[in-house]
Order: sequence, then structure tokens, then C-alpha cells
Amino acid sequence: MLGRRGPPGLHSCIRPSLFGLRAPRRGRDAGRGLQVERERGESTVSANLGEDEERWRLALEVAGEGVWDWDLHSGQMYRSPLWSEILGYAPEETATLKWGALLHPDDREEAQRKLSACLSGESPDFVAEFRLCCKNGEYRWMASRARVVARDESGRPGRMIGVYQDIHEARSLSDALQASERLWQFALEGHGDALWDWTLKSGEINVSQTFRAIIGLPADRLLRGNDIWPSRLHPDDVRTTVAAFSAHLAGVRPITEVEFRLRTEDGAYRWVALRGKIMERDRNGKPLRMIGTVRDVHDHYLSAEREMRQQQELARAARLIHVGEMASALAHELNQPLTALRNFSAVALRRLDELGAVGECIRGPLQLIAEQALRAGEIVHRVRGFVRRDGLLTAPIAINGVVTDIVRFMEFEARAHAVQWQLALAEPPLWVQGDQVQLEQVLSNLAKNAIDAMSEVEGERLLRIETRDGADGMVEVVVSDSGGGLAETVREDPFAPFVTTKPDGVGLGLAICRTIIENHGGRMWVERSTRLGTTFCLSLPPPAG
Amino acid sequence: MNRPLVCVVDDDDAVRLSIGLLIETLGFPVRCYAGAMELLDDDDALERAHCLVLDVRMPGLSGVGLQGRLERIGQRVPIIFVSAYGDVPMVARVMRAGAFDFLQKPFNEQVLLDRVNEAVQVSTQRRREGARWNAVQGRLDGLTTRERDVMDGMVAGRLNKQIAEDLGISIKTVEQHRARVMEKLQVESLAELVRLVIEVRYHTD
Repeated sequence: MLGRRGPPGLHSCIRPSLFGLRAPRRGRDAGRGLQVERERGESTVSANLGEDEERWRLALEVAGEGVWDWDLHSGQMYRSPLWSEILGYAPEETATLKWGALLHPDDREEAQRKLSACLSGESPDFVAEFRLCCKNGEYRWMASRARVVARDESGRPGRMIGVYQDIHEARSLSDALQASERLWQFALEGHGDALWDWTLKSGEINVSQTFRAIIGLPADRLLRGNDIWPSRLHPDDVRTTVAAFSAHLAGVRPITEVEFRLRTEDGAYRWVALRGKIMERDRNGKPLRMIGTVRDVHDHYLSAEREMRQQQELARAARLIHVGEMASALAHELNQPLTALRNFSAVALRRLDELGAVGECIRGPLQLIAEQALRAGEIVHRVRGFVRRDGLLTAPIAINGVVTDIVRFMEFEARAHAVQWQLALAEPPLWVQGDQVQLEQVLSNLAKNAIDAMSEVEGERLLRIETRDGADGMVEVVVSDSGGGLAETVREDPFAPFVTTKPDGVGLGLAICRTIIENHGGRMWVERSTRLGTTFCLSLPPPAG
Repeated sequence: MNRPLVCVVDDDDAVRLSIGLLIETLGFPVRCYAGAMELLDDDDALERAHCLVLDVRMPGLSGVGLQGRLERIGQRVPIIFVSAYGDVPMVARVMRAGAFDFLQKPFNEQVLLDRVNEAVQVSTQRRREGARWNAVQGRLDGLTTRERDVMDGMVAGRLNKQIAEDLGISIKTVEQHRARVMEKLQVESLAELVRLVIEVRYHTD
């Protein structure tokens, strides 16, 4: 490092010393500052600098730094040739230039405030970046450092020396970066994403305006990491959220992606979807900075939740009906052999009379068989009565609405199998007396069967649902597919319970449908089943009264 | 072959057979069918059946559907429904449509046998009356126009003289017609004739 004591022969004892300064914030290699010590009593700057002085000036110019030396008493300003060169002036032109006038209007206030602070002694150094007007009228970015090197007894500044560096290129680059960042921010926020930038070590978190809007946070409130997560997390979501962050921080997942509820300023919770990624790590791979987005998905979440609840309700109803139909179907299946059992034993008892006394010893057991058969029938009947028609809540229902609901529910499934819908809904709309959930159950079952029936079809896959006036004031719903028709095994009685063509089916779907429709006082039948498709019909009574 | 025929339709083999055997203990001939269409195809059975025992729910045409078909072709045979389901609306529907009875499976066979017996009796009675009215109607159809005019006068309580005046014929001719009417309708007295004619009119209305 260069260091120097004041030269003995110099009549004004200026002892500038150069030393490395703390690396500036932008990482720009400003390199060195100039410190000039000045002996008490000296008040003028000799223009005739000595040899050493000249050497320093050259050294500075090689370093790319312009130098200025300002005598506050006389107002005289020395500016090095490089200073002039940077701004495109000839050295002799600079004497009359006023720094304040050259400053870019946007930078003027801050630069002058800093200067005042330095002059008053409030801050030891003047460190500033600002734009100065070049001779050709363009502004260039400068970085300047300066210090008051002489004060009088009352502390008033007498002399100030400073250096300049042209940082225009570096600054432009950083401006371009900032502009690019702004563009990204704009694009993301336009997409509904709020941004956050989290410095892990300090916990400092910067959030975009949109983010603040989501949680109703005032623009001027500073934030630390903990101020948002975990402190604003819904208690039920803490575990999953922390896990999602940890998985990414530990490198298990390439990104943090999690949905949780954030508490807003008014105490309510909103669902948000967060995505984040570590953008900077230290040499050891330790995460330093994480950047990401947050999207308000509250309304979407609520509607999705509502949809899910509806689906669950439907599934629950389906299970209930399943149990009921199971019992009902079982009852029917059991009642048949019980009937035969009872009848056969009764026949045997009657034929026993023809044998006379010989057969008397088996009369008792035969009678018991007959009795037990009836008793078993009673039990089955009671079970059926218990489960049958549970929760049939009928009301006037617009049947077209049920159909469009089903189309909505089955949209995904239909699309997955490339099935086209074709609706022929009666106008004016027809009303039926029915249980909405159970009718949805029937129609979704028919639609599902239709879609399945067409899964092997090469040509057009058309699922047609029609609503129309039927006989005797009933309302009919017709569901047709363009599949290959009912399989041989089920064609004779497609509604028979426990008969199915599906490998994982139990063969209750259509049996349930028919039971539901019959419970409604309607009928269900197959209108047509050929190699070109199958048509199921059902009729429902009009609204009561 | 004059014994009353009973027909059983049930798609369950064991149930069908057991009901058939049961009804045979009553001494009636029984024919069993696995489906409604098979019975409809058996014209002889339809002609002779005195009672049908039908399952309600069967593949193809159901018992209820068969009931409707028979109604439409004018076959009014008593029907006893048996069903493993049989909820209230269904029972109400078939009973409204004129079913003889509805039994829930499994049933006490004595109830079924009693009802079959009754149904056969009703049917036999209906057939007997039907046959009688057919015979009477045949005799009435054998009258000439003039004889019918005279008969109308007799039933209306008019004297021979009045009838002769009404029809513009002699009393003697009226008396001849009158004897012919009594002979053709196989009645012994005027009172008997009047009752027969009134009954026929009542029955054919």
C-alpha cells in the first residue's frame, strides 16, 4: 500500500494518503479514496503543486478517477483534466461550470443533501452516485467520494477534496437489470401472482404490492420472514407448509409448492398458493436467498371445495343406496329360494297324508322346515323395510337441470374418453317429483355406463340425453350411446342384480337405478340395444299436486 | 279335461316348480312358464286357464305387463301376483288393475292354495254363467222378427188381443207365435219368460 508523509519541502503541507476503502455496495471497484490532511492554519491551495502532488494526480488519473479540490472560502474549484474529459469538456472550460447545475434534476436533491451533511460534519464522507450533464447534453452516472480536509476554529469547512469515477456502463447494466426485473414482476403480477424475495439469514422479506394487497398489509410496514411465515399461517396448515419449505431447502424437492391459509390484517384467513425457489447459495451450498410467488386462490379454493363436497355427498348417497339396494337385491335373491323351500315342504306335508300312519314321524320335522322358511322370509323382509327408501326426499325438480349437472360432473370423464355430448332438452323445461341426489345418481350411472360402452368404439362416440313428455303425463329421460350394444350375458335382463360385464363390477348399478326410479313411482327400461348402440329410458311422475 | 287349469309364470325355476307342485295338490292341472311371453303364445292355456299365478318382476314382459296385455285382449282370468319385492305402490297398482290378490314371497302356502281355490271358483262361476248367457242368447237369436215382436209384447204385459191390434195380425196368429216363443226359449210359464228376458237384458247391458 502506498503511504506518504508530507514532503518536507512543500510549503503547504498537504499530506494526502491513499488507502483502500470498504468495498462499496454495488461491488463496483471504486478502489481508493483520497484523504488529504491539512495542517492547521493553511487556508489556500497552491496551484503550483509539487512533484509529489503531480504524481498523485497521475496515479488517480490512471485509476480512472477525476479529482476535484474545492476552496470553500474563495469558491475556487480545481478539477483535474480527467474530470473534464469524462464529461467531454476541455480542461479550460470547466472553471465556470457549477456542479449543482450539472446534476440530473432527479439526483440533485439527494446529492446536495449528502453534500450538506458532509460539510456540516454530520457525516464524515461524501459518498454519492448521481448523473452529471456532459457537454453533449447526455447524462452520465458518476460515483463520487469526498471529504472535508480543512476546517477553521469554529469548525466551518475550508477545503474539500474528492474523486470521481465514471460508472455509467456499470450503472446502465444494473438499470437494465432492474428494468428487466420490473418487467418480470409486471408479467407475474399481471398473471395474478404476488412476489416475495426472502433473505434467509437476516429474515428480511420483500414483498410486492400485490402481496401486500392479499393480506391487507400497509405499504410502509417493514417485514421480516417470520412476519409472514410462520406467524400468519393458519395453525392447521403450519405442518404441511413447513414441510414443503424444508423439503426444498434440504434439496429433496426442486421447488417449494404449497397451498395454505394466510391471516390477513382483519384477522380472516385466505387460501393462497405459494411457489418458491432458492436463487442464491453460499459456497457451501447453504441457501441465502429464496424468491417466489404467491397467488390468491381463495375463491377458487372455496368453489373447488364446494364441488368436492357435492361429489362426496353424491358418493355418500351412492353408498347408502348401495347398501339399501344390496339388501333389497339380497332380499329378493333370498326370498326366491325361501319361497321354494316353504312350498316344497308344504307339498311334502300334503303328500304325507296319502301315506297314512307310515309318514307321521316326518310330519314334525317337515312342519319345522316350513315354519323356518317363513321365519327367514320375515327377517329378510324386516331388514329390507329398514333400509328401503331411506332418505327419499322428493320435491319438484327441473329435470333439464339434473341433466346439465350430470354433464358438468362427467365432463372430465367424457373428455378423457373422447365422448361427445348431445343434449336434446325439452322446451319449455319439464318438471318431475323426485329426489335430486338420487336422480343425479341414476343419470350419472347411465352416463358412466354409456361412456364405458363406447370405450372400444372406433368411430363417433356420442352420448345423447333427451328429456321429453311421456305417456300418461309422465316425463321421460332417454340416454343413448353409440356403443356396441349390451353384452349377450346381460341383454335379457340388464337390470338383474349381481350380473355384470365389468371385471370389477358387482352388477348393482342398473339394479340400483331401477330401484330408485321405481321408488319414485316411475319405470325404467331398455328401448333399444343393437350393435349401433343402446338406449335406456326412464319415466318419472310430474310434480305432485 | 274339464278340470280347471291353473297357469304359473315365474322366472325362478325352483319357485315355479314348487308353486306348480303345490297347486297340483288341489287336484288342478297346472302349466308352468318361465316367462310371460311363453304363456301368451299358448292359446290353448289362455282359453282354458281359470287362474294365473304371476311373478311381478321378470325379464322381458313383467307380470304387470302381462296383466295389461290380457286386459286388452279381453281375457278376464283371475290373477294372483306373487313377488319378492312388492312395495306399497306396486301392490296398489296391480290391485287397481283388477288383480285377484297379491302375495309377498315367501308366503304361507295355505293362503295361496285358498286364494287359488277361490279364484278357480270365481272363474268357473263366470264361465258357467257366461256359458248360460251364451245359450240363452243363442235361443233368443233363434226367434223370428215376428216372434220377437210378440215376445216384447208379452214381456210388456200386454194381452193377446192388444198385441194382435199392435201388430195388425189376428189373435190366432199371436197365439201361435206365443207358443213358438215359449218352446224356443224353453220356458214353461209367462213368469219364467219375463224373468229370463229381464236377466238377459240386465246381463248384456
